[in-house]
Amino acid sequence: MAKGRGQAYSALALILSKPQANGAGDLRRALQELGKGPAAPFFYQEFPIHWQGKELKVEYQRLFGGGYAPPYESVYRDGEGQVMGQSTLQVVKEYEAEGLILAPEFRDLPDHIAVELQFMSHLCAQEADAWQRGDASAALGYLRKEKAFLGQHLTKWLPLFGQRVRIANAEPYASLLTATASYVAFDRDQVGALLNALGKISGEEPT
Amino acid sequence: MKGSPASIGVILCPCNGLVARGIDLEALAQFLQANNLARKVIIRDDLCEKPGEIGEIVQSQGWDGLVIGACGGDFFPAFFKEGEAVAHLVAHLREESALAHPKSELTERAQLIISSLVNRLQGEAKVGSQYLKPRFGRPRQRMGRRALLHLIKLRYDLVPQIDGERCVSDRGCRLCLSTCPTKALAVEEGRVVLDKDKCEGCGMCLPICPTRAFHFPTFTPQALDSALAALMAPSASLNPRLILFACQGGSALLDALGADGLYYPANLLPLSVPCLGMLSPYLILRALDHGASGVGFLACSGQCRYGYDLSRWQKRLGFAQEVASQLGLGRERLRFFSPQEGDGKEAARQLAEFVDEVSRLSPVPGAEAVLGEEGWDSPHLVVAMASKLGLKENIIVTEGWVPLGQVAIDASHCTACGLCAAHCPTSALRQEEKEDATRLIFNYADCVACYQCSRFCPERAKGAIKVERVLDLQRLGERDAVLMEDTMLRCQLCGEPFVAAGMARQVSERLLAQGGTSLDYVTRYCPRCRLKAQLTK
Repeated sequence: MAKGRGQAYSALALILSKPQANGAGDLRRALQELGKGPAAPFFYQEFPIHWQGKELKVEYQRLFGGGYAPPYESVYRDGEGQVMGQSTLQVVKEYEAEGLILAPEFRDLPDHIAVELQFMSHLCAQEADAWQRGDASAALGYLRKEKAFLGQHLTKWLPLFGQRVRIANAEPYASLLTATASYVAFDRDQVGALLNALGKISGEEPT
Repeated sequence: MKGSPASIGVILCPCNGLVARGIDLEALAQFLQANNLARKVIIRDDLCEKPGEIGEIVQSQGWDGLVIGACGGDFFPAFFKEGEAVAHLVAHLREESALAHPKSELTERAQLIISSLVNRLQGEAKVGSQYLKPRFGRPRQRMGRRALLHLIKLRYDLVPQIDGERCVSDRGCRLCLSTCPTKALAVEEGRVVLDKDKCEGCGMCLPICPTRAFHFPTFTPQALDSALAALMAPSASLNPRLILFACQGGSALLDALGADGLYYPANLLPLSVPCLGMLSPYLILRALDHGASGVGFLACSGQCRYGYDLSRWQKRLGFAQEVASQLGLGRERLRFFSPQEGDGKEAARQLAEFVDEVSRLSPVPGAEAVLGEEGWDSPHLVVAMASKLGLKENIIVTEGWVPLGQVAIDASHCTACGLCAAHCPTSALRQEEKEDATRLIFNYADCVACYQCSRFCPERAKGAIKVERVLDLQRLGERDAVLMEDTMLRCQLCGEPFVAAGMARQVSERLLAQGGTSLDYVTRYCPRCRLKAQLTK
């Protein structure tokens, strides 16, 4: 399960990062992958994306590049639309706690949506590794980290961010963000339930 | 209810004969399809062993909602359609296996139960993912041996959500917080939020909310009302009909009756709810209004799974019983059952006795009109029932948990500060300042007896405000009663009204008591002009 979730977050990070030369193709592939994984309920087969493929890059720039709907957590959480606020520092700390730093060639802020999603993907991958090794306590630790990061960051600002994009009615990003926000909230609940169940099992029969 | 009718499918499981022995499934399927109750009915055996198949059926048929008729259990994950979950309800048909009733009666009864579930889904078949609470492990309901196979499967429970537009937490309302037995509600950044990890979906927040801000899919008053309508749909057999509201523990007990070869009368139709505590007086009375000869309430035996003290809810039932009595229907038509743990025999006897006693009473006429949006409360319902029954006398009820109150204000202590009006969740009490007077105005029909006004009154210790629970039908029409009126003092400098006379008097008295001197400033000048007045003097 953790592996699938990691891949889903990775795909989400891809579709919400700056489109490359073949942006439309990347998006289609990512959507296909999402349709198979745990996010399938929200990225279903006939997912409504209406847009002219070639405009993707332009649309991304117009929406997120200007002041319209900046894709940074800090803008929605630290008062009047400022970047590099308290929550930015916090996510950087959390990245560092995992031994991660932003690649120098990544010319954007650390609380960019794609970075946060990629970080989730990293946590899930680590969790999957731990399960594979049979290291349940490490896996549980990663699950707790996932829950905390989802609860304290992504689920707190994605709805506000999505709302801003929806008002702009800018496809495909309005639909993509609505679905992403739903999935992220859903995943948070799921991780919570899993932790509950695992907690009960380990509580009843300590190993 | 929203939009066009949803496409609801039904899957029936003969359950290896457990269900099919008692019910003619073919006839049931034909009936449901012929009467357009279900889009399509599919009969499939051994459903619980192949949950994947259900998903395939739902997907290929494109259903928005699903009703499953089976021997029992809760063995299904949620299915999704376009980002929303396809809600499903399970009709427990296992008790029919007792073979205590003729097959035709049981088939008819299954028709009624399934159509009531279809009706409940009609308004909200597809459920947004925010209403889903994922859960691993033990199913909520009684579990068959087969269900053990699916133990670690992920499944979903429905939980309520809060409509932020309706919620009046900004007025200091915290009624739901104090009601929630699992402490799943909290105020964050001024808004009431629900913690899904803690919420157990008992629905007790629904009837307590003065503005009906909670939405609980398939358990809304509308959904339960349409379920009642379906259960009471007139037909030739199973008359007179009774409704049995059963909480989860109660439903499990009913299932167990079937398994133990015991039975209860076929004209007692169960309606399963998470907890009896979620039933408002409205729903209790509405069952009678739909023409049920009697309404039973089956609680869990022993300890409530939510830790809820049902004696509080029983006061609501007490109110409904008193209303039924004054309507001339008799309070004995509403009965509470709290069977002993493991004593199915006694429970079956009590239920049979209830049906027998009520059947001897004269029938209750069925509902006349569907109440509109504003009619989902008990006072409006009581008015409608009284007029249907041709009742001449007024109804005055003070017994039990009356969901309506009369506010009284003692003008000698009230300072007209308006905190009561500011905290009133339904604006039944409001303050109006006009020219040289301030008034507290009260609309009896809008009061929900939540006591917020008296809780926030600074002069409550002196008895400035009192709330009395009372339902008085004749007074429902009274609008805009003035409870308190006081003159406003005008500032002698700027001429603007700035304080109620009573408030000024009380403040002066208190200042005097503390040895203050220059009282003129308090009563003569508004706060803005006070300094100016002092300087020019």
